Amino acid sequence: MSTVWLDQVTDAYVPLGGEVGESFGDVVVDVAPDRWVDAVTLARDALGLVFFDWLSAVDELDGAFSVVTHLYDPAQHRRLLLRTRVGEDGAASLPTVTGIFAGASWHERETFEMFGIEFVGHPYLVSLLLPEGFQGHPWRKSFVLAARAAKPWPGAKEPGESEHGASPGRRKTQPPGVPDPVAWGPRTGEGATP
Amino acid sequence: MVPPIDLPSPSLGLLSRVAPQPIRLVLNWGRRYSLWVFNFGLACCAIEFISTSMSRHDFIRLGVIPFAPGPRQADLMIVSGTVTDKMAPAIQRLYDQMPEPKYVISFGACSNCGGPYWDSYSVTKGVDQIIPVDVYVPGCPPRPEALLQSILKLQSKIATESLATRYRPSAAALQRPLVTAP
Amino acid sequence: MTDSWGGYFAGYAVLGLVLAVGVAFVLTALVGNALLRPSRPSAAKSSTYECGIDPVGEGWAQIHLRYYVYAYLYVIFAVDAVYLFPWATVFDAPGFGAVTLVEMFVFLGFLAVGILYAWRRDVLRWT
Repeated sequence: MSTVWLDQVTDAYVPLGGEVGESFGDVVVDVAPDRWVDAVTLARDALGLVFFDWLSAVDELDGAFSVVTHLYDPAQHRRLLLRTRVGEDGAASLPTVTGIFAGASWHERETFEMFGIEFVGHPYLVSLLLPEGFQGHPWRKSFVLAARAAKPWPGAKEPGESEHGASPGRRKTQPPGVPDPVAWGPRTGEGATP
Repeated sequence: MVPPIDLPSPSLGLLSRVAPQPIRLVLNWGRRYSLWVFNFGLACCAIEFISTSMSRHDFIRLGVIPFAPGPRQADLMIVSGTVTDKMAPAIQRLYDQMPEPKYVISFGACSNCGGPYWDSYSVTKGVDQIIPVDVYVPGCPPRPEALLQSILKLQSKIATESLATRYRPSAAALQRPLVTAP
Repeated sequence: MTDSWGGYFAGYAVLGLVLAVGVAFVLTALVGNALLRPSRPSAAKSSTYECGIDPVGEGWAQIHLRYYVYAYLYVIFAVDAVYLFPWATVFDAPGFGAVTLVEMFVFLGFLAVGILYAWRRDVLRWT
């Protein structure tokens, strides 16, 4: 059944130049940003994915974001992830899909305020969740968690660290967002991270 | 620049100031066993608060009547749950709208110090950054019994308090340094 | 004659005493509170309550006129009951004749016209 769906999607996205793959059990189609609106329209009209589930972005840590949207077919219970890369050349912007799915409005607002990706053509692109006067885009990996600079991690392990712990000789890598206290924050110059 | 406001200056009632100790005992007794709580339930700790108000744990038997219709009918505010930076001004204003004498219990790790979200971009690291807290209840979430104990602790605090020292602090009390963290 | 005058006013004296006690009760509570409470007025404290956010709009909300029916039905049935009860305790005592009965039925006639209006307006139904 899933191979049939994979083939259907592959056939449908050939004219748009989409690359079809699999990601954790879901079919993913990567398209170019200028074919983004066509790709979403194709999913809704030709493939029957009429339910808009969510739209968000991923900071891929290589200088660009991936904007991902998850669409669902409630009649045949099929789902699809559509993905595109933005921001490779500096300013991140993408056409809006609110013309296709009105429900994408708030998702795009959240993605805009959290990543700084501008959605061209959005009727009301203002921040949704962050308080007024908030500076920065928090979900970018480059956003510094200031509390970590003021106070070191109080737990014994970092999240994701294995039970055996890192070998003492190896320098621990910090998760993204945790600033190096030598370089940033009130304890600048104190010494390297242990 | 905030323009000067034409309001009466803060004061404490005459009888409260001159009341002898036995009368003060009675007044404190009345105040501590009739705490009306303005529940500020924000997150998971609110569920524990709700379960404490229900029949198994039941803080109503301590005189704490929940679900005050608004801040103006309450004298105890229990902040249970994560305080975000967007919610902080509302908490501040609702605390301001409560009439004196008022008490605050900070329930749960998030409202004590930010809790598990202490390094988040959007969390206020502890509700005591914006309002004064009388009793802190640690836990994530604390057991209902912990909330019962915190109410008892607050009641024993009220039993020995004098409104005069609380609402007309001496110059020395005002110049006391901030409490240092352990 | 003085005895009957004293007897006549004795009832009102009790009423006056009850009224005075009521007023004294309320005044004691309010004055006692004023003498005991700490007071810290501030602009935020006297601001309108709207769940912590800035209040918008006016505090004045208008109720739709169609709810007059509730007030109307209340007047009919409550006024009816209030005036029937004392009358029912005395109307067959000696000195009150058929005139008293007829008077009350005239009163009930007016109320019946009111109920007939409500019936014709189709408001005397559960749903």
